[in-house]
Amino acid sequence: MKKTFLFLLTLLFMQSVTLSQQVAKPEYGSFALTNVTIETVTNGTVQGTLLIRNGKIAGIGENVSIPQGTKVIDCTGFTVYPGMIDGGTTLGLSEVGSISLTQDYNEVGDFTPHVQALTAVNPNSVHIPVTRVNGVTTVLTMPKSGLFPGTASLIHLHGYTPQQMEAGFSGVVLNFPNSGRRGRWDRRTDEEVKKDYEEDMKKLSDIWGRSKQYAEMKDKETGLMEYNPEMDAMIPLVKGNGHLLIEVNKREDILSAIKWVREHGAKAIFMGVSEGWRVADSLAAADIPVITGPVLSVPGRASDRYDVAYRNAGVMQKAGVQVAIRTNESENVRNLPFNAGFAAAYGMGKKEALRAVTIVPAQIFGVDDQIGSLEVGKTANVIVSDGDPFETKTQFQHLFINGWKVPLESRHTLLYDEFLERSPGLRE
Amino acid sequence: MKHMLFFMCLFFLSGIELLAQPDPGNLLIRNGTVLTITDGIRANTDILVENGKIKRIGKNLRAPQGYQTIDATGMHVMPGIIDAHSHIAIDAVNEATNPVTAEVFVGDALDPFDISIYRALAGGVTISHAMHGSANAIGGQCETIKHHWGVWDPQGLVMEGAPRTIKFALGENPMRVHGEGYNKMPRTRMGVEQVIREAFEEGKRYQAEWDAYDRKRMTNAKTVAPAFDLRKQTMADILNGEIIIHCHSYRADEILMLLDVLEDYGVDKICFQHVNEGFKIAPELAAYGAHASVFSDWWAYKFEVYYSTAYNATILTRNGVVTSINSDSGELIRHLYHEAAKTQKYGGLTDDEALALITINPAIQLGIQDRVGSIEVGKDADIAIFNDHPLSIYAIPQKTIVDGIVRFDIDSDPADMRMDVDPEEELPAFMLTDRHDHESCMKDVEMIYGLNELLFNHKH
Amino acid sequence: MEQPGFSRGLLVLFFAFLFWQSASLQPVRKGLPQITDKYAVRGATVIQSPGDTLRDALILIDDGMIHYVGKDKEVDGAIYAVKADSMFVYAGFIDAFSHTGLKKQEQGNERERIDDPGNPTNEQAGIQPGRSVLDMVDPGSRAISDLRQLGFTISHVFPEGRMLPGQGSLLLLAGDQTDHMLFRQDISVYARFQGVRRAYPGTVIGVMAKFREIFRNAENALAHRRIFAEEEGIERPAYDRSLLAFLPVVSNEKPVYFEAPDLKSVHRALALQKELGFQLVLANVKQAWSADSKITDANARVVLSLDIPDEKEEKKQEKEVSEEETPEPGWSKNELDALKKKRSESLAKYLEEPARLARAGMQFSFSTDGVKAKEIMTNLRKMVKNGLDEGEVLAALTTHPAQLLGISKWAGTVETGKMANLVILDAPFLEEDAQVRYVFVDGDLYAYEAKKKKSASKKGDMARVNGAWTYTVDVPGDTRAGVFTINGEPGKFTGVIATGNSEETDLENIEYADGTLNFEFSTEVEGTDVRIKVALEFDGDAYTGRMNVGPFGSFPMEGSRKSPENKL
Repeated sequence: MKKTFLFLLTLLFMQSVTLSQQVAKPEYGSFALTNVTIETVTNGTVQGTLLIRNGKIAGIGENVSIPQGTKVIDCTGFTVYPGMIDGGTTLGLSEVGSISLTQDYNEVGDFTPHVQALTAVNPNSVHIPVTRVNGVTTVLTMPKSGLFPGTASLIHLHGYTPQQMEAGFSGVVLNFPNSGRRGRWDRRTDEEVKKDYEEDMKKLSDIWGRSKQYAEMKDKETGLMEYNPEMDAMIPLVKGNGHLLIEVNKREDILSAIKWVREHGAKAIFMGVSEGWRVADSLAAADIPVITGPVLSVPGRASDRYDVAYRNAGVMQKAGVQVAIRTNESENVRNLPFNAGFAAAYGMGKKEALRAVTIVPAQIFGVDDQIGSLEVGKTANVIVSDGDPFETKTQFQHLFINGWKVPLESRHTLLYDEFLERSPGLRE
Repeated sequence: MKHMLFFMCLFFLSGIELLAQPDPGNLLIRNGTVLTITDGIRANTDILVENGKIKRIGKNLRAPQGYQTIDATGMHVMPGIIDAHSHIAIDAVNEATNPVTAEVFVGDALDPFDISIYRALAGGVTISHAMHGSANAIGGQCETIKHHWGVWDPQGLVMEGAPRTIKFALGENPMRVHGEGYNKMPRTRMGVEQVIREAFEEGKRYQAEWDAYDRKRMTNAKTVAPAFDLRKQTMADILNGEIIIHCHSYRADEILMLLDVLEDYGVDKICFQHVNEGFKIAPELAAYGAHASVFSDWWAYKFEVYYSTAYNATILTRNGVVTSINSDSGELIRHLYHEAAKTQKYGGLTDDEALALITINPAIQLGIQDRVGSIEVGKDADIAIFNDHPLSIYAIPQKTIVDGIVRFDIDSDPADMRMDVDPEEELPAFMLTDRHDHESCMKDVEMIYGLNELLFNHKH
Repeated sequence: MEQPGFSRGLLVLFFAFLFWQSASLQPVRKGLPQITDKYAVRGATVIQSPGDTLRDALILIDDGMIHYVGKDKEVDGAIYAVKADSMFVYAGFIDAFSHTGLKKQEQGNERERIDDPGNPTNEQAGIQPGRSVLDMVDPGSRAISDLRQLGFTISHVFPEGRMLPGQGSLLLLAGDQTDHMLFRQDISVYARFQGVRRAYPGTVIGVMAKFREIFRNAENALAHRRIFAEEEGIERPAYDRSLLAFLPVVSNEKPVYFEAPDLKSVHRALALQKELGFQLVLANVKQAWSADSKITDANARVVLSLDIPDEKEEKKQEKEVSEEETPEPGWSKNELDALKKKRSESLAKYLEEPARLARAGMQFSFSTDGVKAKEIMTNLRKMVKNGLDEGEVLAALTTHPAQLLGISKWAGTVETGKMANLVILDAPFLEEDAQVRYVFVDGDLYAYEAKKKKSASKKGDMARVNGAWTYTVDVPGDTRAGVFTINGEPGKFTGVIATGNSEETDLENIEYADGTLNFEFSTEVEGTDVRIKVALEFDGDAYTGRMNVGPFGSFPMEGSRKSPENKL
């Protein structure tokens, strides 16, 4: 009996070893991407070698000396880009859309700025590999519901703990009060819409006022104050240090949000901004950065030209607004390059669209010294493609996150490998 | 004086009305790169359209007098895109009150004023399959519509002569609506099978009853007719091969189940819709001759699509299943050319294979491949013109032609294309479309369940 | 609404108390004793039918009938003389489709959870085509006197409901009991594209499928009955009420009035007609522009809605100038202009629709459903302004509906032998200042005092708020009605309101300036004093505003100068 058990255990163990050998693991070390076109984003396009060492970009150009022990990857015909950054997602916080227990971005309550997206990021979410194999290496992941839904975090799409993924930015989300209807199911009367909006605005100003008071009291108080984590989370915001990510979309609301930010001296980033094209000059004058998207969406008003959502990013950018692009997605954050591609085609141009998913979001999040472009000393978030990264058919050849060479594998590729030629096939 | 002027205006207007003949659909598209789909790519080629049909394809064609000429130099010209699954242009999607509602017909609820029609045209889509939703195991009959934006008569959208189609639905949606919602069968996939079997059986018996009546009446004119039942009659029509089934489905097991049921009842016209796990049973689908109409990359919005792959269309195609890419969405329908291109990323389909997914293949699935889906002489002049190869992310649709009439022209788009405008409106309302408006398939159901309120509270 | 100390139950109680008697406070019909049923209308211009005018005419009425129309002549005997010098007499107007005078409905079972939504009862499914409207009529309803005051004498009244709410009956717009008003019972079947909540048919597609099925089975049933009557050994036909009600539809004896307020509904009704072949009347039509030939082919008749869109543009015009300086931020001027153009084109299309249909040779009637009584004449004038011939308007109010409803023999013109349904105005009926002075319904005379001409009342005219005013207040789940009276001059106004206590309550703090009236009053609810504040905006003889009932919230209130109607 005991023997059989041991035997089985050994078998089981052996089997798991065999299995784990089949799984491609990320590699860490020194890599030289040679004969490659390097799209630095910030310093033009260069030919030559891109060297990765110790998780950083260690060399760029024709005369890069390759240290011993470096793995040389010939990239002839390929182009290397900085990994793309999606400035607004729920990636890692959501697994199955219709099952609310798998959605970690909707906390109960209107005022929960202290809940942390990073806490609930599932490093093993199936969505993450699906996303990164399409060239997206970093995303902002955000809580969603309520007036102050929580604190969003920037994460790299590789790592086994949230801390390994953490990418150096966090900000509190504010869903700016919406003066319109919230969707096609919203059957409130005009009066109710107006009333709710006014109540929300009042609530916002109450919260802000109290938070300010709380911050002042806390500065003076030497002893222990009552436990008030919501208020604590607001302190950096009311002091103008912390970032406030303001979700706002409708023209009227964008204008009130601009006014509100000015009056309250918040350090704001606008999210969504689907009607930004209507008020692009006001946004530029207010000098508030914008993370807009999805680009692939329908116009907000039935009277709008069919392509306003495609054009929105370009119009704002041309007016002088600092514009990054987001998908606002979870399982399909992988479509970020296509969102950028549509923006590029509809007025933004390829160059600016590329910046809008690389260096611009890095700047907005204050991490442009680490990611968003290919520069020596920056974090090695690097993607290698056989063509224009926005073109639909382009294939990514190599992927590095934090210097890790991550396999281009996901549930989708694995199922493809298994089922393209199923075995057994049709039963006779 | 004022009156005088008024009457003069009236006279003038009615004069115009009299003079304005309906556009016959005559035009010449010059010098484009023509993607015929069924007969390769033709560079620098002209297409002559007469009375809404493609009359000639060739070089240096001449337009008879009065024909509009479109210069397509440097442009790509492809057949109008066909969406085998959409819910635009209808006022009702789900009659979600019974697990079987074969008798209802969304063609009864066409809405020619839905701005989504124009937006679809602006994405090169000329035909869509306006479908009943997926709340019921057997939903309603669908309508194949042509995007004749500008007609005031709902009937003007109908593609005359297109075969009848009907919506079936397996899995979570009917289980949720009837099982969880009303505590009625089906609450499981086992129940879904039995609901469908019972409906077929009833249709079969109904047919027999009427056949018997018809025979009896030959000898006795005073025979009482059986009760008329449109639901059973529709099931009988499916059994008689008059209706193509389009079945909303995701999981491999439920798809195999329906194939078994259909085999038992001798039904062979079947196209599976969404069919996210079609890749797992591609050989079985191919062997049955079943078709598949899929999303390019939607997944994970519910549990039954969690084990999905964006390579689905490629695997199905490579295994010989007639496959199309559909939208099921007023948003996606605007860039089906891009959705088709994703099959080049996910599995490397050729240009022709990828474009077939949104042209000739959906045409086959709707039974209209003899009339549309490729650029061939004699076919309907449904044509989309792009400034770049339509599979490129940078391609922008320039003109969309339906039956020889230009219905979308990027150069003459006055932004506000609405037809039926509320004369009392202030500014047009702004409404954000939620990304989780996935599956417009479940429209109207939410209304019935107050699910909207749930969602709405949930989302603040 | 959540106020400490006031439960919802108390709120209901409060209103029950506050408006306890108001339901019986109908517009006055002073029950003066009837002197006679013989009348002579003298000296008027009589429009006997559209385009057929008689000047200085005499009309003799006896026992509800017109006995003579012609040149003035001496008349003997005890006849009540109606002095109508320089007045204009028309046949009483006929409303071809409405829900006039229905009792307030219990809204009970709409929220009921139906166990088997796929197989509801006919009642649950809103399928009651056999239902008669007669049990639902409140003869004392204000809607009836309001219409009558405009000159309407007959209404084609339908029950309210979902898919098949019931049958239409012709009612004379006068009488103390429904049976006195009844002219023709159950002459038509009413259909709508309206499903029920949470049961089959729930949507327009369900309704259309169900309609086909009912129709086909009624055809079957008709044949079955015939065989059953002739043969022995035949199974009993079904006695389903919905089928029974459809038998006369199938045999083309009764028309179906399909409510079709929008273009799509018009086409849907026509599609069903084409498929099944029944007599179709399109009711409450507002748009029909793409359906002309189909309507003609179907031999369908049209009842146009009198509810037409407001001309916002004109009012906005003044505002537009100031908006120039501060346009809507984010909207370009081009865009705003384009929107404005689109709106006004759409408006024009609606306004010109009656004229267009008339030019196309269509003989339509009018429906008073969904339009406020005070807007009816204004809207008719708008139609005329937009090209509709005045004679067509009159025909659509008289001869066309009479023909549509099969009552031309008795109504629709001013001719000897017809029912004495007349409207008498002090000017041609479409003129801005025209006022109805007398209405005859079935020989009963209603007289109306002349109101001051509008031109005489300028803004700031303090006297114009004086007088008796009717009111209705929309409270949760109900509408309450009553009367208040104001007298005096600024600073010295007095007034009373009938709130439901048998006694009237004095008004306090009455203020009136620039068309705005404010007043307050107190009432006691279960020992608690409640202060009620009212603020109203006046526009001519009508007003709108709100009644603020302290902790219970505020409710919309509207009304008009109390009808000076007298039944003689």
